[in-house]
Amino acid sequence: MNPFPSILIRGTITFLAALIVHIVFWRAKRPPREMAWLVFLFLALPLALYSFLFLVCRDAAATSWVLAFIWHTALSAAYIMTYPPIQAGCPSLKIVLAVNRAGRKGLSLEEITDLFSEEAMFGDRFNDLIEDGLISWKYDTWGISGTGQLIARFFIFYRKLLKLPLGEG
Amino acid sequence: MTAGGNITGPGIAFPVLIALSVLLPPLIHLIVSRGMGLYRDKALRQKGAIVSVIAGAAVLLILFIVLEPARAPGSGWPWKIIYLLGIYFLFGYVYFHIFNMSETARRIRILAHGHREGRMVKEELTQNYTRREMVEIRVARLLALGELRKRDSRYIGGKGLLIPPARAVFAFRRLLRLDR
Repeated sequence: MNPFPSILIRGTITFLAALIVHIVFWRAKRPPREMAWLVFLFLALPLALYSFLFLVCRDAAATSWVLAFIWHTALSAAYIMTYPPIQAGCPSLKIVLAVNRAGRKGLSLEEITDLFSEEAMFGDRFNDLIEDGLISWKYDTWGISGTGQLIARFFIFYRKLLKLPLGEG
Repeated sequence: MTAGGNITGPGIAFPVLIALSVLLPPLIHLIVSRGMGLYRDKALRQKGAIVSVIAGAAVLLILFIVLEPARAPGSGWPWKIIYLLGIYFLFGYVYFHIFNMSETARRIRILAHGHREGRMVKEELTQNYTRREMVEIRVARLLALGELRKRDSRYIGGKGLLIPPARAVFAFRRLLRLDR
């Protein structure tokens, strides 16, 4: 019997289980440092579970758990990367829906701009960075934390590698 | 189970192909953007990342044919391709989001600004990055993608490809109660 259907099913089931726990927790109380919690829920906990299954099985069964975990990880990574636009309410998608709702009459640039408050467009994202510990209050001004520096350096290096200027946000 | 209980087949070809599923999207994008100088225009950058992911799938399939010659009936190779392409497109989607973050995320822009300046004053940032400017950047991107069209001085719907994902995103926001 081909093992791949069962591998795909196992990886999908553990992903869905993590997703259900995530939905239930978030609906009850949205935690601080959401990305860290998502990584814990979708990657760290399943890694522990799959490691256990790998250790108690032998040969082909052990390999099948590794392949199931890779499938689980791919699904989870895709969800984790989708979460920031969900959490931030992605302005581009909001514009698309508003213009679509306006029908043939369409919207002017002013009307589109009025869909957003200054706080929603900028302040909320600034506050997200504070909450995630990526920027912090230093003396009398805001500065980037060590992790924030790492992320900034990574993206600056990555854009240089692609020979592209930094994105406009 | 496949012969001998070996799921991935003989040798290390399949594990190598799995590893390549993660590495190919950024590698192909690097070749396309830096090496060939394609899709570097502001309006085309996201398209460049999407094209690179699709091109990478073709490369992966060719490598599969070359490295996995045992395609006898009953060897389960169609399932291997399904698994491999599934992994590839999921990681390709992850890569596209990483690129998109570098291109469009306000949080990355704020971090890059802080890294460059060493300090940040929230009020100064608010003055530099106005709501109007951020909306203009997004409208220009949506025009370039064909998701908006301009008629006289008004914007109307375009291709409509982003409408289903947009509805899904806002439905999921409601499910997670993020609007509280």
